[in-house]
Amino acid sequence: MRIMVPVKSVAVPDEEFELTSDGLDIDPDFLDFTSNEWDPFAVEQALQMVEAAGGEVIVVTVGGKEAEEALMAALAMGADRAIRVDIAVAGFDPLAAARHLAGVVAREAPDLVLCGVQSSDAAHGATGVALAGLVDYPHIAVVKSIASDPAGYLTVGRELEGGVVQQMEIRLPAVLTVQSGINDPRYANLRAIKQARGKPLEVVDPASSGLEGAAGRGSGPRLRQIYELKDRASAEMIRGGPREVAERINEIIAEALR
Amino acid sequence: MAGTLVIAEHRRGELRQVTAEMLTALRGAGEALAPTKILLVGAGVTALADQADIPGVDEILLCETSAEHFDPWSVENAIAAVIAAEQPRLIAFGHTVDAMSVAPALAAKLGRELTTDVTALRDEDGAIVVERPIYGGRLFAELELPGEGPIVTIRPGQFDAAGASAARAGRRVVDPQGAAESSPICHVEFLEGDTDQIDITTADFLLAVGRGIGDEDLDRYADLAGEIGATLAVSRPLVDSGQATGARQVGQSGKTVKPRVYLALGISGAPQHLAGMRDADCIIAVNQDPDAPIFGVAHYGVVGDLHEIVDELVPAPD
Repeated sequence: MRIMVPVKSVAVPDEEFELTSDGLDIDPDFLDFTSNEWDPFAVEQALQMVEAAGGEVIVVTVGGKEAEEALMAALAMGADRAIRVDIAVAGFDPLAAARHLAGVVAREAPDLVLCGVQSSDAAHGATGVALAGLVDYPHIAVVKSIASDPAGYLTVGRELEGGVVQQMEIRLPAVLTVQSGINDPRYANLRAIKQARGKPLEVVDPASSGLEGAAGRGSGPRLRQIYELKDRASAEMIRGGPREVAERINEIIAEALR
Repeated sequence: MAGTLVIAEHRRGELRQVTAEMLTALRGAGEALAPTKILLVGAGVTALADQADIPGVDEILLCETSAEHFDPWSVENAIAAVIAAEQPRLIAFGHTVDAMSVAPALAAKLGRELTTDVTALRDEDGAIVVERPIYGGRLFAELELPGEGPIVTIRPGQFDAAGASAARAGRRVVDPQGAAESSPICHVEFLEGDTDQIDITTADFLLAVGRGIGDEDLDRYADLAGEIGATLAVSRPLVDSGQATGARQVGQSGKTVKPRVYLALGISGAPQHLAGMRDADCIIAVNQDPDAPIFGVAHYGVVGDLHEIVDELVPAPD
């Protein structure tokens, strides 16, 4: 089974940050990049399935050099090879990354694409299912369990609001977006991290490699401005020693429940 | 192209609350996005039509399919056919687990713009303008959606559910196309998952704990909740780690709660969590991180070590 796992290096703003001169984004000097919170669950799931059934795990990302951080983390966990589509995409267009990933799916023809439910920075929750739409794969979002069925099907549990699970059967090839907590992602030891550097990492230029992906019919939403949460720091802060603070909390609770 | 097509969300014979919340958002956006048609897709939706008589609904479209329960494949095909026939100016879903399985694929296939988890929606001189969180809720973006019939998903809990039922809207049966093909996805069963029958949505006083309690046993906080007369609730990480059941989870993938008191201990306040509790009457948050987003919605905040504070809490009066 060939499983493709799209991953993302997400941007985490520093506690204090400044905006770019046009005011439309955070100045990159104030951003750190780290693996998306959902991605290790998708990678782990892919590794377990390939360990059981044979095959390979390909990790893919869309972005500049900083995006390789997420690829290296997945390779260290045990993925076989990595692909980076070398193009920056606007963070506020939920379909942009999917269009480039579609080109990779067309070339690699995976049996299964496992994607995190969402990214922890943009949090559109859209990339996996949009990709499925572009390549016409059946798809289910927010999956909390996956069991192999014989004959080209999987049985998956879709996690609904309030803890109910809907069990569904889906035909392969397919795209599933994987919820956190589906498994217990392995840690990469130092040796695995070193070995990851020796694994194949292909950088493709979407303009010259025939991997343009699906035609981008839309230009994406137009960003007009960004602003800080208006009600931020609206809380009345209670100060003092633990006893004083607790006494004040007791008073507030008693008052509110009266 | 005119008006808005609202995709009603229903599960096991009940229209879900987010559907009425979407109507509130649209009424707030005014006449420019009217008229509003609401679409119900699935087997037996004709029986649900009365639940869709919500203020602001101008017409109810009923699309009967053979799929007794939600499956992304049949729902997507039906919605695509209705969009082609009705040519709405805007298509609105709730930002829910069901919509996450459908809306992005539909946008990609139909070549429409998409934006998700929308917290504000309006028309400005003919432009559809939305707001949504970015960078994990640290900032918000104001976006304009160009092109024909863009698709938005609206954050659950952001708008009030309309109260009174409206006058009876017109009903129209629409044709489910593509349903004759054999579906690559089928429903098997619902698993209730939790044996924990607790209902946190009816509690007056919730003690909610999150990752910030550290390695400590959740039992200590269950005991504390009992001692101070509160009901224990948790944020997502404690469910993922297996310490708590989903029945106690507050947030987008858990329950939406509006208690009189919400005491949040060690919860930083991911957007998905805030979506489930921001309407509580009185929110008190204790967290080590002074920049934790929870302080953005809390009425009272404490920056400090929660372990030292909890020992001093006393029972709430009856």
